[in-house]
Amino acid sequence: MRAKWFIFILGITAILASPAISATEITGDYRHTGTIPQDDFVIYHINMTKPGKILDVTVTASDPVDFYLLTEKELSQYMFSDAFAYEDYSENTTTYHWRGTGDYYLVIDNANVSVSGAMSHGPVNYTIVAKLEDKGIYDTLVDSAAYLVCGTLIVIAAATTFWLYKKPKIEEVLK
Amino acid sequence: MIVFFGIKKKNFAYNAYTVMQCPKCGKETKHYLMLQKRAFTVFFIPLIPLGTRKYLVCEECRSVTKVSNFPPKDRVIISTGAERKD
Ligand SMILES: [Zn+2]
Repeated sequence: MRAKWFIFILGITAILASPAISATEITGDYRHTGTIPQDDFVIYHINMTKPGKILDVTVTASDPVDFYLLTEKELSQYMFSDAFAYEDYSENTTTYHWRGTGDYYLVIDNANVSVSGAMSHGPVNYTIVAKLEDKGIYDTLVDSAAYLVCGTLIVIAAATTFWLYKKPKIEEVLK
Repeated sequence: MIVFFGIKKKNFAYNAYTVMQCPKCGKETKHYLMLQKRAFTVFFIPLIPLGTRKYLVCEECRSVTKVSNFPPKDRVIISTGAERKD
C-alpha cells in the first residue's frame, strides 16, 4: 500500500515538474525574424479567448517547413503523440486569416514529425509578421444579427412545438 | 445544403361524440370528435403553425369526415370513460 502511494506522489511530482510549453505571445502588431535549427520548432501563442479577435499572420521561411495552427489540446497531441489534429496547415510560405474564440498556437516546424510534411535538411530562417486585432463594427453587427435571428428562431420553434403538442380541452373545442 | 421542409400533423382524439348519419356507411352512429393541428417544419422542427382541422370519426366504419365546425355543445355527449388513444 505504501509503495503505491509513493509511486503516485512520484508521478504527480514528475507531471508538475515537467517543463511547460514555452511559447512566444503574439499581441497587436508583431514582427520577428529568427532561425529554427534542424529538427526543432517554434511555438507562438495567440490569445483569442476574448470574442471578436482576428489574426492575420504571414510566415516566410527560407526552406519548406510545416506550419500548424493548433488549439491547446491539439498542441499537446502534437507534442506528445504521433497523431494530431490541427485547425489549419500549410507546407510553404503561408498567410493565415483566422477568426475564432480560444487559445491558439502557431507552430513552425522544422522537424520531421509527420510522414507527409516538409523534410528537414538544416536550419531554416523565417520571418513572421502578425497582427491580432479586434473585430470591426461591421463584423460585430453581422454576428449580433446572426445571434438575434438564431435566438428568435429558437423561441418561435419552441412556441410552435408547444402549441402543436398541446391538446386543447374539450370545453375549448366546443366553444 | 439540403433543406428539409415538411408538415407535421398531430391528432387529438376526444372522448366526446355526436350521433349522426355517417356520410360513408349511411348508419346513424356515434361520431367521435378529433382535432388535427398542423405546423410547417424545417429540418423536422415545427416553425409555423398552420392551424387546426376538425374531424368526426364514425364509430362503425372508422371513416373520417372533415367538418368546418363541430356540432353545437348541446348535441355533443362527453363520455366519462377512459381516454381514447387514437
Ligand atoms: Zn360510417
